[in-house]
This record gives sequence, structure tokens and C-alpha cells, in this order.
Amino acid sequence: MLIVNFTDQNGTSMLLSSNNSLKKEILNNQLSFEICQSEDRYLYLVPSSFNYLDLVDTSPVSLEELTHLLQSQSGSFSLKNIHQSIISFMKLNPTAEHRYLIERNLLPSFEIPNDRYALPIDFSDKFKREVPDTLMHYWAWEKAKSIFPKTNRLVSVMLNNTPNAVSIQNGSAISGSQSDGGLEGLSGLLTCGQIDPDFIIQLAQKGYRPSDIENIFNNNSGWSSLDSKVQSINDIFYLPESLSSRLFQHQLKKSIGSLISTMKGVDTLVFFNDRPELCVPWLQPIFQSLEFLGFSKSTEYQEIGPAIFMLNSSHSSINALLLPNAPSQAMVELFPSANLLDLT
Amino acid sequence: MNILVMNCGSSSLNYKVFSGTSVKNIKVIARGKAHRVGVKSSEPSFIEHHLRQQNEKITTSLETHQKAASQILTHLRINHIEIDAIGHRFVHGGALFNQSTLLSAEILEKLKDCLPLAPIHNPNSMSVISTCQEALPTCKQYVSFDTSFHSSMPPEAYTYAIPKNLREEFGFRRFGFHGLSYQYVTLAAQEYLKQSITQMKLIACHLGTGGSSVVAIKNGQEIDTSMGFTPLPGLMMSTRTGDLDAGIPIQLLRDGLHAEDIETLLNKKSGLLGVSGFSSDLRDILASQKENANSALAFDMYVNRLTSYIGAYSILLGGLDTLIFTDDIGLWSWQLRERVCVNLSWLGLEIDPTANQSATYEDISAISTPNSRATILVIPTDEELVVGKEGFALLKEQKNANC
Repeated sequence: MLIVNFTDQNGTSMLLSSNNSLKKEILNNQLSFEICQSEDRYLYLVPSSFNYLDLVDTSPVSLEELTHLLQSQSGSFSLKNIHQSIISFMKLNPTAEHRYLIERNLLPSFEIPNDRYALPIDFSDKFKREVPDTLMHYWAWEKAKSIFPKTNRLVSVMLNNTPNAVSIQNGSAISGSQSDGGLEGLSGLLTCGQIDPDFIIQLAQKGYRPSDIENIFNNNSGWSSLDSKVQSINDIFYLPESLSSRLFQHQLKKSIGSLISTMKGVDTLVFFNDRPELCVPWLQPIFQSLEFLGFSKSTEYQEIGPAIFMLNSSHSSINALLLPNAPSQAMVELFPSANLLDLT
Repeated sequence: MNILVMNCGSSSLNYKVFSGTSVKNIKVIARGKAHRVGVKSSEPSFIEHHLRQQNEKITTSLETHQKAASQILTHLRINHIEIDAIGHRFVHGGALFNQSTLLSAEILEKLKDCLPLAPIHNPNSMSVISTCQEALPTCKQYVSFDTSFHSSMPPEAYTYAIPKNLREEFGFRRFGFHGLSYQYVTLAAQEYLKQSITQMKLIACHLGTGGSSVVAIKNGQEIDTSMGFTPLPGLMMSTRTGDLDAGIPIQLLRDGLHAEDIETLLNKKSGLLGVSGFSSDLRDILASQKENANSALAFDMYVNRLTSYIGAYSILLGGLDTLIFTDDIGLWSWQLRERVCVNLSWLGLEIDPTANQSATYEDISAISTPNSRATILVIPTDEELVVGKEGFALLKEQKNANC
């Protein structure tokens, strides 16, 4: 199976094979498509931030319709690239199964009023909170439901260099620690997370330009600005006594509590990380702070599937899972439910 | 000795005159409050005075805190109340002040450096100091700071994950506010419950008509609070956004707005006023929410933000023993307390609806049922008493009070 993940607005794509062995960037359609000719299944992921294809969740979409969309949007260079990528793949291997996922449709926007900032009503449409890492949080929901069928309220936490957390109830996103940007909620390796918005005003009054301010808080802040030894989230786990590690754990406890509040309780917690031996010991203080709600941690984390670990004991009233941070695995598992593209 | 305490809120001005001989021996001889100072709302501004068993309510226009202070001083003068010293609540002392301080020319200069730190409050307090200096030029004045209470916060709570040069050059860190109120209500809860706060997991919500915040205290040690370097972040407030993606003001700068316009937008045109589109007063919002969808949304957002903070702090504390509501909205809005506590039933909170609706402004009320996992208290705050005691300690004993 070949996964085509459109990663930016210029039509740049990431190609992944189902076993993660092929990782290639397609830049503006400059790729020899033949290398992928032998695949029998193709999945195109349209990220939340841009559904250029104007696709809706009604399958199948014909090649003719795709071509028409391309022609009608001929003024958009990036649209051309994305459309042409898909059409090229489809023509290259017409007998294969081609499907697409629109990330935004997996978990539509947060529930009202959690999608709002307390700004004047004129600004409410301009600035809305969007679900970050939709694909992964949706996969968390699907996996949790398959392992713990009684799950109705879930908190899903991405533990990587750009972490975030989302609450999901009955398959709908309720709220999140932050929107797509890194200037609220949890801090990351280079992003500041929650700050006082007044900082922006004060810096602007001192003559900083918007691009300078954005660069400071998006690229030169975060854990690495507190501790030079911290170069990735793994260092957060390695150095639990460091200020950045303690700060992140403090923020994560608050985010989890806040998200549980939005659902009036929680059934399952899902964490995404690839290093259980580092991550699970670091999570212990968070588990302790949940004990009063009936959470009981497992003495040893138990692998219940490939790279999937159960972190709670059997008598815990709240479940906890650790899943691999593997978008390709998520997409392979979601392929059967993706929308069909039909060449006929 | 008589000490007048002036307490500027963002839209109110409380005052009390304390008479006594020492910190342990003081009583209130006059008090009052100017309401809706500088507020755009459907109801008029007014001042209440309580003096010698007499209550008086004067409806008057109060465009500024200076005007309110001037009317209060006039009222005291014509009623022959002698004033020996005046204490002021000052919201933000920055890194320059961590305890109450007598005013001098040098201190006044330092206070001016603190004005931008709390643009809604500090300039109001400064203007009231000027009014008092003009009216009573020989009277000693001192300031007590809200930020002092929060000095025990741990680094992981007060540090922002931003470059070191910004933290040092601008002094960016979380300070926290409403410290005088928290000082009063936590000790009042301790006395009421006959249990030391050093053995409590406690959350206190100071919900004012202007600013609101929450604090989490574990075993007597503050571990977090919702406001930040300024009183802008945290809960949704009357005219302030509370927490906000900082990418938004950056985008507004790109759109051509000036920093001052953004400051006004986020501090004075957002919150309940911005979302409802017509009032910053929760009373107006509650009264109109059935027929006005924006009012209903504003109330929902206000409830959700507060509920989320209490939930967040409960996990941070690893449980909750005592939940306190205080200040104007915390005292009068039984509807808000009910909605919040029902939403928090997952924490084991159980509110007694009858006790909740009969909580008063005058006394401490317990509004939880016996089955509730945490005790829920409504406590009228008394920031002025905290400032008054500081004054007696400073002027009579030449030290800071330990209230």
C-alpha cells in the first residue's frame, strides 16, 4: 500500500509505504511515479488545513470529476499539483484501489463553545479553534473503542516534539489543549505553548515586527529554550528533574484535567509515543494524580498488540493505552473506511 | 489611629476606614463601595456608604476611579471622619515589590514603572493615590500588592517556556493576582473548617465584576494560578479574553492593528462584553440568555472556562478537599455556582441547591451536601482588612503584618 500525505500548500507530498520503508518527498510533482507502480492500494490523505480537492464524503469520485475540478481551479498552482499527483497515480495504476481521507472530516471542529475564544462576536469566525493532529486522535478513538468497547469519553495525548491533547466523546472532538498553532496549550521542543497574550503587545510596542515575534515563540522557545540539553521529547523523559520536564508535566496534568472536565469524566486515556521504556516511567506522577478518580496503574506495562501497551491495572476504573506515533499505521488501518476514487 | 483603605477593582472602588491601636485591635468605622465605575451597562453607577448604622445609596455618574475616590473623600470629610493614613491595593508590583511599602517620591517613581503591567488596574490605583495626595497632602500613604501572595509558586508554574533573554529583559513570568483576597479567604476557610490549610487540597475562585482568577493550593503551598504576567490570561472575564492563542494578536498586528488597539480589544472589548455584544455585567447576561443566543453563549463560555480550570487544578492537586467561591460574582451568582458544581460532579462534588441559593454576602456559607467529596464554601472576601492590617503593622509596628 502506498500512502500519499500532502504535507504543504505547494503540493509537496510525503510518500510512505505501509511498512514505512519508503519515505520520499514529492516536490511540485517532480517524482518518477514509476517507482510506485507495483502498489495495489493507494491512500491519499488531505490534511485538515487544506481540502483543495473540494471533496466531500460521498464516494466514489470519478477521474472525470477530478479533472473537471482541476480545470475549474486552474488559477491555483498548488491545486494543480495535488490534483495532478492523484491523477498521475490513478493513471499509472488504474487497476489498483485508490482511496482518499479528508483529515478534517474524521473529527470535525470542536464542540461549541469550546471552538471559541472570548473575543468580540465580529472575530468569532476569523479565529476558531481547530482540531490538531486529527488523523492520530481519530485513530486513538478507533483503537480505544476496539480494545475497550465501553469507551465513550477519551483523552488523547500526542507525546512528541509538538505535543497536544484532545478530548473526544462519542466520536466527536469536544475540546483540545490548543489549536493547530504552538502558541497556546502545551509547550513543545521549540514552541512556547501557553503564554500571556500581553507579551505580544509589549514586544510590538518595543518595535518587534510580527514575523520576529512569531519566530521567537514558534521556533526559539519551548523546552530547548529552558534547558539546552533538551533536544527532543526523549530528553524530557531522560531528564525528569529538569525545569522543562517538570514544566511540561505540570502543563500536561492541567490539560488532562481540563479536558476531562469538558466531558464530565473520562473512560480512557491514550498516549502516543514510540519509546515506552522512557515515556511510561515519566508518566507515573500523572497517573498518581489520577488515582483519586479510580485510576490504578499497572505494575508492568503490558504489550497487548504490536507496539500497543496497556498502562492500567485490571481493576482500574479508567483505562490507559500507549500507541505508537505512527501515522502510516493509522492510515493503513483506516484504509478500508476511506472514500473510493473510481477510474471507471 | 484611623486608616482609610482604597481598593480599586477594574470597575469598582471599595473603601473601609479602620480604627484601632494595633493589628490585633482594629474595627471598621465606615465602609462603602462605588459600583460600575467606568462601565457601559444598562444600569446606572452608584456609591453605597455605610456609616454609624446609616446606609446611603447615591446614584451618580462615575466615569473614572478618581471621581469615585473624590466623592468618597468628600463623604468622609462632611461626616467628620478623621483619616491618619491611607492604604491602597495595588494589583501588580512586578519584581520590584513583594511586600507592603510606605509611599515616598522614590516609591512613586517605581510604581510608575509597574503601570503597564496591569493596564486596567494599576493606572486606576495610581490615579486614586494622586486624588488622595491632593485632598490630604499630609496624610501618610502606603501600598499593598496582590502579587505578593503568589511568591511561593514553584518554578514549573511561574516559568514560561520562552527564551532566557525575554524572561530576564522583560521580566516575563507568571505573577498571579487577587492575592490579598486569597490571603483572606484561605485563612477564613481554615478557621471555619477548623482544619489547617497545610493539610488541604484547596481551590479558590475569585470571581469579580471586572477580573476573575483561580488558585490551587496544596498543603498551604500555592501550586498554580490562572492569571499570568498581567491579569489578561486565565478565566474569561467581564471585558478580558482570558486565555488566548498568542498567534491571534500576532495575526492582528499583521492585519494592521496597532499594539494599543489590540491591548484595548483584548482587555476592554472582549470577555462577556465581546461575546454577548452588549454588556460586561453577568447580571445582564443571565437576564437575557433565554431570548438572546449571544448571551447564552457568553454564559456557557464563562461556565466552561471556570469548570475547566477547576478540573485542571483538581488533577494538579491529585484531589480536592475544599472549593471556595468569593468576590461579587462568586457571592451573588448562585446560578453560576450551581452550573459549575453540577458540571464537576465527576470530582465527587455535590451541591446543596437550597444552601446555594441562600448563601449571603455577609457570612461564610457551606453549600455542599454531607456526601460531597469536597466542601464547597462561599466566603465574602475582605481585601481591605488585609490592607488595613498591613497599615497598622507598617505604621505602628514598623513591620509587615502576618495576617
